[in-house]
Amino acid sequence: MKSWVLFGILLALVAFACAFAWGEELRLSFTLEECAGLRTDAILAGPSPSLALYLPVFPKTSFRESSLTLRYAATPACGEDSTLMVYGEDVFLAAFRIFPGEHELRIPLSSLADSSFGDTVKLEIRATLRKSDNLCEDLLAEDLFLHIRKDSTLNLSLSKATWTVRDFLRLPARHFHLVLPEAPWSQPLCGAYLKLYAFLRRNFRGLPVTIHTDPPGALRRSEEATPKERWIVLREQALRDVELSGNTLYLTPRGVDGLIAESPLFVGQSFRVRSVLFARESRRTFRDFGFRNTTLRGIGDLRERLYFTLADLGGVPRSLWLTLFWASTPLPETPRGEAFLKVFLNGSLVFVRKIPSGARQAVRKERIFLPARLLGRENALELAFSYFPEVGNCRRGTMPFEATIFEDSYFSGMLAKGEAPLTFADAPTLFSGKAYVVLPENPSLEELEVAGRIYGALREIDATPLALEVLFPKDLKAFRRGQPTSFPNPAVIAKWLKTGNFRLLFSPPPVLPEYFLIIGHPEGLLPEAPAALAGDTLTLSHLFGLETFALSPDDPWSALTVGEFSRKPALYLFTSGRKDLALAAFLRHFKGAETLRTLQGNVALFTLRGFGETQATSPSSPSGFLELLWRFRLFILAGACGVLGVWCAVLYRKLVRLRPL
Amino acid sequence: MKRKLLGELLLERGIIREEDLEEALRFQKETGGLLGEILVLRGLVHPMELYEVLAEQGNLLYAGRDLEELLQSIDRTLLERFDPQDLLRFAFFPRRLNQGALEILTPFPENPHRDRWLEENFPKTAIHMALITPYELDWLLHFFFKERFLKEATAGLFFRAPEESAARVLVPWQWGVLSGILFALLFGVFLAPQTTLKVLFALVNLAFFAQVLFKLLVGLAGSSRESLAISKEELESLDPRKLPVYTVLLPLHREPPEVIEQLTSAIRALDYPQEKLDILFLIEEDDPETLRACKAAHPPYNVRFILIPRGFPKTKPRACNFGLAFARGEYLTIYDAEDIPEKDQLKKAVLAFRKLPKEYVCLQAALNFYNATQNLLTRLFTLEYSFWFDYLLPGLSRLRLPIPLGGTSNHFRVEALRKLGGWDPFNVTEDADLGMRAHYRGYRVGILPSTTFEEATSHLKNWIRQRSRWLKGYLQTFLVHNRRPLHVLKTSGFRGWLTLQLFIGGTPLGYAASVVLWGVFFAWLFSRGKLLEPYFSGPILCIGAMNLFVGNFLGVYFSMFAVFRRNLDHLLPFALLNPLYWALAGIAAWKGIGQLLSRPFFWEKTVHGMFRRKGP
Repeated sequence: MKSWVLFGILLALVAFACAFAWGEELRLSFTLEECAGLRTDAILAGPSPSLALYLPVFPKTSFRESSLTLRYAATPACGEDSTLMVYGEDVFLAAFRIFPGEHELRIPLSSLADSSFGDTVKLEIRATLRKSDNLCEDLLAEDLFLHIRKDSTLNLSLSKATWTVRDFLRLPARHFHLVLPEAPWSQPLCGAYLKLYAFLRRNFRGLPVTIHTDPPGALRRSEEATPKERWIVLREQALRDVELSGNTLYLTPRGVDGLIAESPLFVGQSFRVRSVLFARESRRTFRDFGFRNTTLRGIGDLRERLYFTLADLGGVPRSLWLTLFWASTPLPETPRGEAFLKVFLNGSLVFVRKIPSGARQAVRKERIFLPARLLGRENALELAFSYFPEVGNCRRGTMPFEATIFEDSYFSGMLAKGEAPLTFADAPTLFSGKAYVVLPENPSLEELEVAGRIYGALREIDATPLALEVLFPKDLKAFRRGQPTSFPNPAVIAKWLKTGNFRLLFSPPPVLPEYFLIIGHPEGLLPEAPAALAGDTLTLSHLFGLETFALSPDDPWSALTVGEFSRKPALYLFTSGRKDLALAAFLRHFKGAETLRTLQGNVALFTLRGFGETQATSPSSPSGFLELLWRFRLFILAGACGVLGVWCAVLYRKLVRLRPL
Repeated sequence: MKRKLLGELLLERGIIREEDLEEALRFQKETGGLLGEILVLRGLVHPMELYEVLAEQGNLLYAGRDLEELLQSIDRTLLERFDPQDLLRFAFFPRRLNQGALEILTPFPENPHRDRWLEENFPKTAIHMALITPYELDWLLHFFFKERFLKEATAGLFFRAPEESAARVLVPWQWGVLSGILFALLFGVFLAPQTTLKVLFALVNLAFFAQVLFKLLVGLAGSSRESLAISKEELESLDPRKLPVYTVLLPLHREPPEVIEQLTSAIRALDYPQEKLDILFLIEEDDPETLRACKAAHPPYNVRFILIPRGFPKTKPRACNFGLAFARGEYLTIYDAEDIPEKDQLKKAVLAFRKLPKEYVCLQAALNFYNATQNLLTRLFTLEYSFWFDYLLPGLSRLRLPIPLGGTSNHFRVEALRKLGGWDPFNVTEDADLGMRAHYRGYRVGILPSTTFEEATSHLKNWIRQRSRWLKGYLQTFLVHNRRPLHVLKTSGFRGWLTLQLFIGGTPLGYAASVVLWGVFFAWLFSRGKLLEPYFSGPILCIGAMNLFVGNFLGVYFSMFAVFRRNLDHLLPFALLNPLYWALAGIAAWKGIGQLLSRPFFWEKTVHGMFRRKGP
């Protein structure tokens, strides 16, 4: 009997150990909208369309237990020969016949079980849609397409016990709860919150994720959280800067900085962060924008898009060039067919080159001018290879065309200085670099959240560094006296200099441009903005002390305006009436980047009932002389030319013409 | 009837004593000069007395007793047939035609060159002579040909070689280029200020460094042993009887009496036969005080006063050109009023000219100061001069590069000087210009191993005035000789052209740039780099830093090794203040640039006599 008991205990222990080792199995389903950012159904049109999706991958994903449920809708024009093939990292997963109408396919992912991946797995859906035997007719057909539904799901089997901090951030989620400690909050904590907010917005850009800001008491609800809810608790200080416990991540301000700087390195559950520096160059190559070497295959218009923001380039360019590296399969020697490389910038064709025929094709380099006037704060660069086989050769079996775009392609050019007056359209381009966020002394949760919402909106659009410093009004005076621009910590530099292999270079350290985000109306602050607060009145256009418009809504309101502070771009948020309601009004209507994109002008007013915006005249700044000089520079130049011309004429009379001897 | 000797006649008349005659004759034996000249120079005979006796001896008429009457008797229409240069060369003056015979006035009745010339130009015409003294000849030439001499002195170079005259500061294409550059700068500053300033800063720094480097290389070349050495034995072996007549031009203007006195002593002290010295005091017509002071100093009779008529421009080279017309010597030199040349300088020059090939038309002696230790400014000035004359100019000569002549102690072959057209009266550093012009016309300038001591300006304002004139003149020279760059390249090669850019142009522009660069440095220093960071970073900052340290170090270095040749070790510590000296020169350079544009021909007069000296 005793031996059976012992055996049973041992078996239980083994089972427990195995269970512990195996970890708790978790089954999760994510729609393509949640995990791949597919906002709308994807349309595959034409005879040989394809769709590439990058799905997140976790180390303990059991691909044998995982699958993809693909929902599609095909047009009646799709004939019997239409097929759909699914590849994962170019490994064939499944093939199906396509039938007109709505259908659902289950695609097992077991073939990927023995493959190794990075952070994502590339899932490619290649369709062959046939209407007739005539390829050319099919190319021109307008009713040959199918929809891949965005609510198709990725069904994963995961082991939760061995999650790391990195996994915590990468796994798709619906809700993030940021929990703050008891007030008052220090400046580093406020800054950490703002950066974290922006980091999350950027990390889950394009995905339906909501970020909540909660007081300390809300942490109790974390125990009831669903798998798609994440909790992040900020604390002023702790033994560990980063600590993961179940569904909750605990962070100190230094931990936030570390996470933002190098989140892929947090492959564990708890960490101490020693030091973090921000030193990041502007993005230039396609690789920096997340683009990888891409090969396009097929016949017809083969397109690839790259999205970039001006802020990521470093600002508004005066001239912008694209250096494109590409290669393609050669065209037949008797080139009856034609192939073009076309480049579109925000929908406008800016470059066309006929792809030459020839047996041998090396990697080509194209230098393409991108007109600055076509650029916006967010831009889409579309590279298209248009290949049409020779006329008459419309039979199936025609050799398809292949072209590769290399990730080493890059942007280059010269930046222009931003011109006043600034508007919302200049965000985030001119509001990138290091932010000085001015918060009221002892800010409330709502004020913090508002600042986070605005800062997050700016940083969600681009990928510039999340460099930020929180200031309270008392710090502004010292700031006006002049502080050094963003620079690595001198103590760190001194330490570097003492190491043996350190080489001193003459190239200057990266200096981030600076801007302000000012919440509230600090006493004594004279805003250099088109709108100002006077009591409960919003006044516009302070032209030399003259106000042209004043408004006093009965409801509490917030006003967001674009201006300058200390000769740097600044966003101001004023409130009037009950502050919590005024801020709530702002939060209700200002969702983030999507709202920022739509704002026109430079003054936006928010009440609980709605919001509106306008373009008000910017006041002349205290240092208006230089601005006047800049504004009227052409007139001044003309005047100077006149004076110089007269002087040269006098010089001619005096020094060149001969006097009688 | 045997002609009586001059000495006998003078004794008979009781004009001289026996012992005077004996001494004069002994001297004549040594030097080979004319007895009459020796007696006049020694003050033993008045020129008029001498010529009366000579007239009696030669059975001629002395016509200089009554100048008014003489003037009346001169046929002005006859003068139009004569070139005054011929009259000077052959030392005669045409009086009138009288019954088919030509009457001439001359101090030298026996002159075969003149007789031959007259025979060629007035064949089958009898020549009747009357005597006048050399001073009366000068006076007549001055009286009748003043305007022509003046015209030649002022406009001669311009009419013969307008491209070499600074009468016009800029030629049209230069003006076009300058205007273009100014407009380009204006547009650049307005439309792309950062790029424009960066490019400008880079160019200025590069040019500055290039001219400093050039001076270093030339200075190093000049530090090797002198190529033209003249030994004591060679000097002693010179036969005074075979020494040629040497003209010394002394342009004077508002000189204090003590300076004139010093000058007169210096002339007397020259180790050269006095009767072979042809000294010309060049005095402006509107400067009676200097004339009075000169007369009061009782200079020897080999000194002639040449009055320079009023005119434009009122400059030293114009006066020298006017004086050149009256020069009688085979060689010529110029001294300033306060100069004290080494006594044997003229003999050294004669020897050097005889040794060197004919292409050497000019020799430059070194200049230095006798009041070097008067104050800080004179010390620094001495260091600079020592480097300039003891290293730089010899370096240029060694490298066969054009040499800008110094202000005084330039020794010329007179004939070659006349061919060169004399000095440019419109150039305020006519000496530098002449040196360059000589080189570009295929002549050479050598370095004379001798020194003239002069007074260093000891007052700052006076120094700046003087220096601004020099730098203005260098700019004039730079502009003039850059009118035909291909010609310069052809005649003197790339190195000669480079000397014009880096040495002549580089000197004033380098000083001007150094002030600006110092300003930029201090702006950078006091703003901790913030103010200038957008404009000066990376390689541009490197170039600037290089000039700051290396350029200034070289300036100090130049001053330091300048002391060795003259054993001026006590001045060594002051070499460290060279950057300050350059800053002063920078101020003067900007003043010079401003004057170039507003008053290009204005001569900033340096005040002399501020230091009283007791002896060299």
